[in-house]
Amino acid sequence: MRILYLDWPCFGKVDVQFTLEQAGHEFVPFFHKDYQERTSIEFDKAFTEFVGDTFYDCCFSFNYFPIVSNNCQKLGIKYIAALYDNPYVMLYSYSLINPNNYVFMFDKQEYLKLKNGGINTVYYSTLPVNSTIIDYLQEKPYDHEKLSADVSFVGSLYNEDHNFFDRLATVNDYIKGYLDAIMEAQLKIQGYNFIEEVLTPDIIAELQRVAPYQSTPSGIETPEYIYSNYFIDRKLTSIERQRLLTAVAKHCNLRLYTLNKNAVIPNATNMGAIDYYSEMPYVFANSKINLNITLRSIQTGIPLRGMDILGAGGFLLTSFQSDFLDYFVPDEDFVYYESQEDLVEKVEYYLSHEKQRKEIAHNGHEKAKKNHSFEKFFENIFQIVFPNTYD
Amino acid sequence: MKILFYRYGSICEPDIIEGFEELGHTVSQITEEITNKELVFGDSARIVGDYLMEHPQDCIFTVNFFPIISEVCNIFKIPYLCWTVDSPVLELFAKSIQNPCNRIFLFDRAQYDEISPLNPGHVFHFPLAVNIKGKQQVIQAASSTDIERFSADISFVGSLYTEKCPYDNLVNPPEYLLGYLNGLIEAQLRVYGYFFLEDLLTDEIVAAFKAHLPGFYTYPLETFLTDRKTMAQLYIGNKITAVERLRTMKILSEHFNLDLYTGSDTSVLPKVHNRGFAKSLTEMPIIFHESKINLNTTCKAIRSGLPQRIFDIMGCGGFVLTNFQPELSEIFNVGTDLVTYGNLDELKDITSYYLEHQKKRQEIAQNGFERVARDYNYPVRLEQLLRLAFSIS
Repeated sequence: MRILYLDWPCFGKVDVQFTLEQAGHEFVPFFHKDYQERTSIEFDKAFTEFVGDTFYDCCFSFNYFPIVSNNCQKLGIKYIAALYDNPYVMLYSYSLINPNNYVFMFDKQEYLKLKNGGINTVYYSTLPVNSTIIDYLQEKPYDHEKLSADVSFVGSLYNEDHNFFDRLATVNDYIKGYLDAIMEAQLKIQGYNFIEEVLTPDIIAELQRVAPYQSTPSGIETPEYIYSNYFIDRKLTSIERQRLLTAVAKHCNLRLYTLNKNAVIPNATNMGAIDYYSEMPYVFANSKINLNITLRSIQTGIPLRGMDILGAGGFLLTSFQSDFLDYFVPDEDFVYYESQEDLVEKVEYYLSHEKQRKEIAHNGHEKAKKNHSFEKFFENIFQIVFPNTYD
Repeated sequence: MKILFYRYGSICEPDIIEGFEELGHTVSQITEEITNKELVFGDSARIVGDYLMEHPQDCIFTVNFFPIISEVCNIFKIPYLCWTVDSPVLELFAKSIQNPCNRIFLFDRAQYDEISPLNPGHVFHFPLAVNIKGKQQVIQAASSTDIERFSADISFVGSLYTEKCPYDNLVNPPEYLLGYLNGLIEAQLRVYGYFFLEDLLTDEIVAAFKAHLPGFYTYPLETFLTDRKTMAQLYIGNKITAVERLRTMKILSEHFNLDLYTGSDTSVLPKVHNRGFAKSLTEMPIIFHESKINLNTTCKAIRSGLPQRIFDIMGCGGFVLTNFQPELSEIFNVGTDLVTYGNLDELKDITSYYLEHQKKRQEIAQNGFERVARDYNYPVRLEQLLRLAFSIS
């Protein structure tokens, strides 16, 4: 097949290209700076000219871009989009129902929400991971001291200045109380995010007063979606990561690999940023315990970090996300925690149980290799998009 | 054995008395408190004390916990047995809970977890039961008029709690407090099986609430009860139950035929068929037996256990559709003996499914009946209860 690839600066390009070319497909990258715009005459023109008379079996991108979907529809090209970000507001676009779309979502609950709402262009698939690259990396020299830890967390604390939530600082006292209560309540609950449901019209009205949100003309996202996912869930994640990591760091050596050099967790070491391809896999492979504290707007899905840890053969200790249970067995392939107390107990337990830890990491790695490779990922996708070819 | 039953008017009392008698025990009753609500501790103590002087007993039994009865038993050196059927029972926190004569049976594990440390070895987690024979007699004696009168698609027997909601006495609450409470209520409403709100009441919130709630409940004698527990379980717990029941009945009545047997005001629920109070001994069994679906929504203060209503419906051979409670799967086979819902959207779908599937419904009701008839019939349970109670010295 000939596959048009939207070449925006995303993770996974090398793996996609390698996998598709290995399978005998032609991989044709295309890029235009307006790929995130809802409309752009320049983009339309460039896309149409680029395609010209050439036949493409499909176009592929990580994440979903309305402008790509619309152009593909115009030219009769199937558009395959695989989401790895969540929340992802561009998904909430009228273009989502374009019949040429095949949008693969890694969060089953959000997928079901759209599917049950009558959107037939969405599908559920976990994210792929390259589980063999780590063997190659381990052969090469690297900074072992920097890229190993007792307990590690790779990711953001979402505590940057000027975050969305700070814009809500001037809401009235009633809303302040309401938001404090629903956020503290949500922090007690894993596996069910109710924030969007409890943002009743009176609450939304006050949020709109202090930090107005207008959806774009082609967008179908609701203010409830925006305030819960972009304002509140991020803040929740920030509070949660701060609290959990602080609690863990009281009991053991915790290393934090994060973009923000000034981020502080008491008793933890901030190691600064690391490169996704050339450094991160080492951290996962060389940490006794890798923590995954999922961004709160991901409802049930396995986030990219979760797959990356398993793919690097690391021991994964994660927040509860029910999609794990579709493919992995808790306490055999990975371990989840249910509360702060539970997390601290499990960190201490697994730090002192090396054999069990290594077995679990090994099992998780084998499953990721077997079932979640890029090859398997594209096989599944193509079976859905080109059913006749694969009869 | 001679058992003195101190009564206050709970609907479970007659069934428990029958159960003891079926086991061959002699039950005498003190019923003063059923009619005389002015009775103070001293009066009860005197009445019971006088009775015991004349008629020595092997133990005293009550539904729920009466601290003064425990004190009397302590003096007379006889065991005091009690079994809760409600929550919250704030008397459980009274200092008298520690008396060695006590044998405390609690139907809810959350209640047990709170109380058992106060009197180790003397507190038991003990789910409820039903009087199978009594219920079946009423059902078999029902006339065709009764059957027709009580036939229904969906029934709910119980209060809407709108009139038992001391939370509504809140006066001029500060805006932040009101927002915080409403946020908590909305969040807790959506989560079955995990009562987290008590943990989220900070000292400041409790103090502010107390300051704006005239007559905030405090136990008159020495107690282990904290204002936080009172606020969470008595005030907010009941408030959530009221809000939840209104929403539940609203959704069901807008989509289906819903018969409500209640003393509560239903004027905000125009589509509900308000059938007034049901007589618990003579009518309730027929209602449960003749309804396609019997709804159970557990009040929020019952944080873990199963309310009496579930056992009563099953003992009448009725089909139970209930909100999720943590102890359900410990006691029954969910989906086989009864059916649960996890939220109000699901409730709607499940209701419409079971209204259309008579055979499945009847199968489940039959399984449920057989299960309670075998394991949760009063004589069986009371025998276990007495064995436990007299196994400690």
